[in-house]
Amino acid sequence: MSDSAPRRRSSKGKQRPARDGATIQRPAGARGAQAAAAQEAERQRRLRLLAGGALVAIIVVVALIAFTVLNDDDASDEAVVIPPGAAEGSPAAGGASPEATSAAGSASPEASPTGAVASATGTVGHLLGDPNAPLTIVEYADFQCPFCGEFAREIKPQLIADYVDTGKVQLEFRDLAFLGQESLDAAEASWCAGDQGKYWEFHDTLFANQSGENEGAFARARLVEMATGIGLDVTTFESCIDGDTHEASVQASNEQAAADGVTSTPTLIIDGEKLVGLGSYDELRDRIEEALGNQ
Amino acid sequence: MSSATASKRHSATSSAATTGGFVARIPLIVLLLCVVGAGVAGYLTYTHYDESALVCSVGDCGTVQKSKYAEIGPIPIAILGLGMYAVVALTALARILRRGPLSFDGWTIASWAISFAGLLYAGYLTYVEIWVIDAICQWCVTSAIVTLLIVILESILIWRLLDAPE
Repeated sequence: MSDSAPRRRSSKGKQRPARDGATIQRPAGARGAQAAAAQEAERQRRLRLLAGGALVAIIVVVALIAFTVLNDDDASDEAVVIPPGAAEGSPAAGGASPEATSAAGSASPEASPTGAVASATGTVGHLLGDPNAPLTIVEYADFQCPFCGEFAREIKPQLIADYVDTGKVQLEFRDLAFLGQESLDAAEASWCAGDQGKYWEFHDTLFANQSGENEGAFARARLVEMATGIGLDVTTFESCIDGDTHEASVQASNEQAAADGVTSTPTLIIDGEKLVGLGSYDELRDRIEEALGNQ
Repeated sequence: MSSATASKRHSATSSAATTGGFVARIPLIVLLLCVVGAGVAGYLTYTHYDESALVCSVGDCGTVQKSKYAEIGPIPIAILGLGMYAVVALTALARILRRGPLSFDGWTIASWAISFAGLLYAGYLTYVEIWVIDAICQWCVTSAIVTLLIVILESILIWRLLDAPE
């Protein structure tokens, strides 16, 4: 019992070294040898059990890891969806009703000066709507966040139709790209699309093509396919994303999110107050009306 | 002979109790660690499924939990952790109450093998967090440390049962 190290025994029934006797008392003679042999057999049995247990543990873990690595959900081969309003040559604002299109930007391309505004106003996002609108709503989102996607697809078109297109609200989209590499890649790519004046079309296309997180939905090939789909100059777009042209822009937006105390997406900032998470349109409308009343 | 066997088993099962307070308490400590671990794994399972919040939260745990390593097929690994703590807790309980189909040593070997598997996987996940995802989720690390402690404690019992077979 007081031994500090496990003993190694090569064969059963052999005469044991004397020092073992200190630990385990054995009767002398043939019965003693028999008991010792039984004891050794038991010890060997436990060692085998233990080795078996360890082996099973290792096999199970290796299998789990292999399953994770090999059964990788790969979204990079999925077909790219171009939202009707964002597609190249899609009808302009007057042609399609806002409800008929899932594209936020296409609802009001003429009335809304769009594009990056980092230099002009000191903000770090992209603007949609009348710059003289009485209220500006800031939206922080990550292109990979499923709730941001739901907001962009389900609620934002209605928000744009009711408030942005009517000149009551200017919308500013800011990146809070934090869900991994593809969040950063998608955000940078959106800025590259903005360089060509098609930020909102790309924004809508990204949200229409969400598929898991960091599983290839926003792999380079798919981003390029999206750019092609909305009619960007692909060579310019490719050199923009390959050169990490807007890495600093996204970084600045992320830093602004931290400065604004935004810790989750989607977060809307309406008249200085945060509306966190995906809520209902009614809730959003009430907040906007309240903010407009305060103006 | 049967009474001799019975007394031998009795002496074997109670050997831990008679040879040191700490060793005798290992099953109880393992049980408590399992409660802690299950709490952590339960919290991670909850946050994994927590769609009611309808947000993606900033923070390394959010990033880790959104990574492809957070699930094996459809099963969140937090649930696997929860299952491991539950099974190890059962082996600890069986040893404390001296119940169940296995002997004290049998439960110890089973518990050791299961927690060893857990430790190997936790080690892999910690490697992934540091070198692949580049984000550390403190709750995941807490769970890994709890598993490590369980394996160390079970190894002490294993050491003794190999050292002093019946």
